[in-house]
Amino acid sequence: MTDADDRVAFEKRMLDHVFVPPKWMKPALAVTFVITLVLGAAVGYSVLTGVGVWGNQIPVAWAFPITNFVWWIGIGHAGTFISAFLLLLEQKWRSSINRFAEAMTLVALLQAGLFPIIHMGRPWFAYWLVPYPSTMGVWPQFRSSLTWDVVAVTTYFAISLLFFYMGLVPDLAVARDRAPTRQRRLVYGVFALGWRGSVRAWTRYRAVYGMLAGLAAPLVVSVHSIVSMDFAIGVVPGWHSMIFPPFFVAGAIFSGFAMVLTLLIPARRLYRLYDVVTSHHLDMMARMLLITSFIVAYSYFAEIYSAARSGDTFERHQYFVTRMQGPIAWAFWTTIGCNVLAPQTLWARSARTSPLFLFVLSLVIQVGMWLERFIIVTASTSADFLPSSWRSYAPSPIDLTILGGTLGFFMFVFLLFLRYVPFIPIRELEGERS
Amino acid sequence: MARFDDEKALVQALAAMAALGVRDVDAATAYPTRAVEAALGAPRTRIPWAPFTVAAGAGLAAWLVMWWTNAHDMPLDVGGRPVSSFWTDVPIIFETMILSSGSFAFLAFFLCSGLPRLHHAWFEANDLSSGFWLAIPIRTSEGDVNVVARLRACGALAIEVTS
Repeated sequence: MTDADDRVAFEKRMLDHVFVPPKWMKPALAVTFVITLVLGAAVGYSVLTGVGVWGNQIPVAWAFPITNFVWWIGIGHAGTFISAFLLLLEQKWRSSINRFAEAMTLVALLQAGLFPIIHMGRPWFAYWLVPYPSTMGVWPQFRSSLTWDVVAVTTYFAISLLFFYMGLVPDLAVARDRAPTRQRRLVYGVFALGWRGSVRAWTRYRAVYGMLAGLAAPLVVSVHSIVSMDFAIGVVPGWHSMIFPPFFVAGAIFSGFAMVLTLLIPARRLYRLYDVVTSHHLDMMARMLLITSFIVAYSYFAEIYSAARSGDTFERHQYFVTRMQGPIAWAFWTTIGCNVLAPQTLWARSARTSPLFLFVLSLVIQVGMWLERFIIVTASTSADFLPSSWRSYAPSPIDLTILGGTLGFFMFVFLLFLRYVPFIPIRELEGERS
Repeated sequence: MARFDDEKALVQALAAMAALGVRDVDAATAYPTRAVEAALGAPRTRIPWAPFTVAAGAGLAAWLVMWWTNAHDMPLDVGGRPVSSFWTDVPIIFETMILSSGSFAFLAFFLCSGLPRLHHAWFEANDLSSGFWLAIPIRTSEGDVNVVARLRACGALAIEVTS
C-alpha cells in the first residue's frame, strides 16, 4: 500500500462520518431543535412581556443573564487557546481536537452574545451600541464597559470565525473532491473557494494562519480580561479587584477545556475515533484541567486573603458571611468542591486516561464554573455597601428555561457542525503523519 | 501534470526539472511541506507586514472616533470623570487593531492566492486531492519527451494533460 493509498483511506474514513451520518444524528437533532424552540419561546415571552418575568431586581440587576454570558463566553476560550496558543507552542497533540474546540468556541459565542442583547430589555435598540451618525445626535458612551464588551465579543467572534474557516478550507476541498453526490460536491466546492493545494498558496497559508494564531492568542486573553473589567471597574464588594483579569482568563480556559472533554469523549466513542483522539490527548487535556484548576484555586485564595487583610468591613462581610454562610453558601462550597477538590483526582494517571471519569468530571467542573460566576454576580450585588438595600436573589422559571434552552441550542448547532463539516482536521493530521 | 506518491519523489522531480532548465514549474501538495516549498523556490510571502500598518491605522481611527464622539461632539460629565481618557479607550483600540489586521490578512491571503475561483486547469487532473502534483506548461517540442521520461524516472505514478 502506497502513502497515497494510506492518505486516501484515511480521508475516506474521516469524511464518511460526514457523508454517512450515524443513526443517532436525526433524533439528537430533533430533540435539541425542540429545546431550541423552547428557548425561542422563553426569549420571545421575555421580550414581549418585559424583563420583569425574570428574577432580576434591584440591587441584583445583572443576575442570571450576565452569569450565563460570562459562563458561555468563558467556555469559548478553550477553543482559541487550543487552536492558537498550542499552535504557536508547536504542541502537535492539538491537531486532532482543534476543530472540535474551534467549533465549540463559535457556538458558545452565539449563546454568550444572546444574553447582553436580551438583558437590555429592548433588544431592538441593540444597534445603538454602534457609533453611527443618528438624527438623535447621541453617541455610545465608550467609558462604559458595555461598549467594551460589544467590541470585544464582536472581534472575538469574527477572528474565531476567520481562523476556523481558514483552517477548514483545505479540508472542504477534500470533501469537494470526495463527495458522493453532485449536490454535495457543489456545496463543498463553493465553500472550498477553488482551493487546489498550490504550493505557493500553502506558503501564504502557513504564514497567514500562524499570524491569525498570533493575533488570536492575545485576543483570548484580552476578551475575558475585558469581561472581567465589567466587574472590576465597579465599586462593589467582591468585584473591585485587580486579580480579576487573570482570574477570569484562567477560569475561562478551565471551563472551556472541560466543555471540550464533554463534547469530545462521546464523539470519540460514537464515531470510533480511538486512533485519532487517543489516551494521550485525554491525558494532555486532563493535565490542562489540573493546571488551570490550581490557578483558579489560587485566585479564590487570593480573593479571600485580600478581603481578610483589606480592613474593609463590607469586603470581609462579602466573603466571610454572604458567600460562606449566606443563603447561597451552598453554591460557594459546591464551587470549591467542583473546581478545587474534584480536579485533584487528576493526579492519578488512571483518572486522566479514563474517558468515563473525565466525562463526569468535566460536567462537575462546568457546574462549578457556572456557580462561581453566579456567586460573583449575585452575591456581590445582593449585599453591597448599603445594607438597607440588601436583598437575596432567586431566579424565575423563565431564567431557568433560558439557561436550559441555550444548552439545547448549543448542542443543536454543534450537532449540525458534526453533521455537515469535516470535524477532524484531515490535512493537518496527514501532514503530521508524514 | 505528473502525480507522485510522496513529497520526497516530488522534491526529486522538481530538482530534475530545474536541472533540465524547465521554467514555470508549479506544484500542488496535500498538505504544506517546507521541502517542496524550498525545491520550488516559493518566495516568502510579505502579507504579514501589511496588517501591522492596517492595525495602526484602525487603532488610530478607533481612538479618534471615541475622542470625537465622547469628548467633542457629545461630552457627558459622568461623576466628574474626564470626558476623554486614553486608558478607558485602550480596550476598544486594542480590539479594533486585532479585528482589522486579522480581517485584512484573511482577505489578503485569498486575493493573493487567486481565490475564490470557479475553475482551474488542475481540477481536470484525476484525483487532485490525493497526491503530490508537479505542473509544467507544454511546449510541444522535442524537449518535452525528455521531460516526460525524466518525470517517469523520478517516480511519476501518472502523467496527465489538462487544458
